[in-house]
Amino acid sequence: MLEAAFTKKLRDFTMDLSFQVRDGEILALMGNNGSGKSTTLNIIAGLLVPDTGRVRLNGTLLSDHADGLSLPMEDRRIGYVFQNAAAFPHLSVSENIAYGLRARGLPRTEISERVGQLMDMMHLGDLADVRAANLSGGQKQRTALARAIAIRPALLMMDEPFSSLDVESTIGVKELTRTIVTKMQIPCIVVTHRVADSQEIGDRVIVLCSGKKEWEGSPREIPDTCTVCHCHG
Amino acid sequence: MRIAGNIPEKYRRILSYSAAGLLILLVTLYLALPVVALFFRTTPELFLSSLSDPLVISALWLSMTTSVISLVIVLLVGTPFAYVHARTTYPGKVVVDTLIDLPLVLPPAVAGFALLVLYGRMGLIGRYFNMMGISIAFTTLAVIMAQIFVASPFYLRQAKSLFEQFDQSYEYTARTLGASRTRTFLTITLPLTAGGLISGAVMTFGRALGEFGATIMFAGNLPGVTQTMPLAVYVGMESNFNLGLTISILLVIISFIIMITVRLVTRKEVPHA
Repeated sequence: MLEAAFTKKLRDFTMDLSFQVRDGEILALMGNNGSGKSTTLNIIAGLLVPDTGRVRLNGTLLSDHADGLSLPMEDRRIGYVFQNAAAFPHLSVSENIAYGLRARGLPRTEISERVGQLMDMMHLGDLADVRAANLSGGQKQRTALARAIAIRPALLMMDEPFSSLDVESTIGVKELTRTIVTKMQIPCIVVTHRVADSQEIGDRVIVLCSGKKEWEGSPREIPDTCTVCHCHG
Repeated sequence: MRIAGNIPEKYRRILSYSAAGLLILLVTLYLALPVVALFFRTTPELFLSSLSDPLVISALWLSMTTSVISLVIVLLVGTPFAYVHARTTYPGKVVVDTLIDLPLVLPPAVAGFALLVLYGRMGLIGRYFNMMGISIAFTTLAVIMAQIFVASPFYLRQAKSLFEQFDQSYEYTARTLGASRTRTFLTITLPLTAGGLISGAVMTFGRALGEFGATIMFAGNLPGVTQTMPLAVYVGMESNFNLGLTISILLVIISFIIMITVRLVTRKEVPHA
C-alpha cells in the first residue's frame, strides 16, 4: 500500500495532496498539462523532494520531511515508466530488461531466466537482440514495462503510457498492466489526461487541478466538467 | 527586375546555375589552393627524404606525445567537469561559461603571455615553484599547459551542450532501476553521447597539434623539448625551406584525417529516443 501526503511549492501554485493506493489497485491520475500529475510521480520516485509531508510504501518511509529522511531513488524499489518509455536506445530489448537486475548484482542465470519470462509475458519473444532504437512505440512501451517490473518493484508508476501509441498497442499495454498489477498485487498509478483511458484502466480516479485534488471517485462517475477548471479538457 | 523580366526562362535558369556554380568554385578554390600549392612545391622523393630528418622526427614525436597527453587530461578532467557544470546551478556559472569560451577568441599569443605572467620564473605562482627548484615555463610541461589552455574549449563546449540537451528520463530510469550515479553515467549517459564527445575530442586534439602562439610565448622554441611541428615549420621557413614544407604537408594530412574522422563519427551517432 502506498500512502502519500505532501506539499511542494511550484512556480505557479503549491501542490497539496494526500492519497492512498491499495495493493492490486490501479489509480488513474488525471488533470490538465501542468496540473501536477508528473510532479506527483517524481516526488514519490525521489526525483523531487517535497517541502513537507511523507511518503510511505508498505509501511516503510520513503521520505519524511519531519525527520529529514529521503531515500535515494535507487533504493525505493519503484518501477517507473516515463512518458517517452525511455527504452535505452543503444541497448537491445533483453539488455534493457536486464538493466536493473545487473545493477542490483543478481546472478547471471537468474537474470537470463527472469528476462526470458518477461519477454514471453510481454510478447517480445523474437526481439531479444533488437536495439531499442529500432522498436515501434508499442514495443518500446512494453520493453519499458518489462524492465520496470523485472526488479519486482513494490509500486508501479506510468506517466502517460498511451499518449504515443496506436489503438491496438494501447489495448495491449492496458491489458498487460492489469495482468501485472493483479498478479504482483502491488499498487499502481497511471497518469493520463484522457477520460477514456482512465475509465478503461483505473479502479479509482483522482483529478488534479493546480496541484490539489479536484475530484476523486469511481471511473464510471467522472463528471463531464469540473467546477474549478477544465480538468480534463 | 525589368531586365530580368525580359530574359527568357531558359537563359534565366542557366544564369542562376552559373552564378551558383561560380560562387561554390570561388570558395572552394580560395580554401584549397594554398593547401594544394604545398604539394606542388615538393616532390615525393624530397618529401620522403626529409621525413627522416632528425628535426622533423623530433618535432613530430613531441607534437604527438604532448597533444595526446593534453587530450587525455582534457578528457579525464573535462568530462566530469562538463557533466557537473551542465547538471547543477551555482553562483557565477555564467562567468565560468564565459571563461570556457574565452580561449576561442583570445589571441593565442596573449594566452601564452598570460601563462608566462602566472607560471614564469618571476610569475605570480611560478616564483614559488622556482624557489622549490621547479621551473614550468620553457619546458615540455609548458607546451602541454599551453595546448590544454587553448584547445580544451573545443571539448568542454561540446560536452557541456551534449549533457545539457541529454534526455534526463534515461538517467532517471536507470536510477530507479537501482543504478548508482556513476553506473548510470558510464552505462547510459556516456554511450549515448559518445559520438559527440569523440568529435569534440578530435577537434581538441587537432587544435592542440596546431598550437603555435601560446607555445612559443610560454614554452619557447627548443628543439626536442618545446619545438612542436608548427614551431618547426616557422624555423624551417627561415633556415631550411624543404623541412618546413615537409612538416606543413604532414600537418595538412593529419588535419584532413581529423576532419574526416569527425564527419564519420558524428554521422554514425546513435539516434536518441
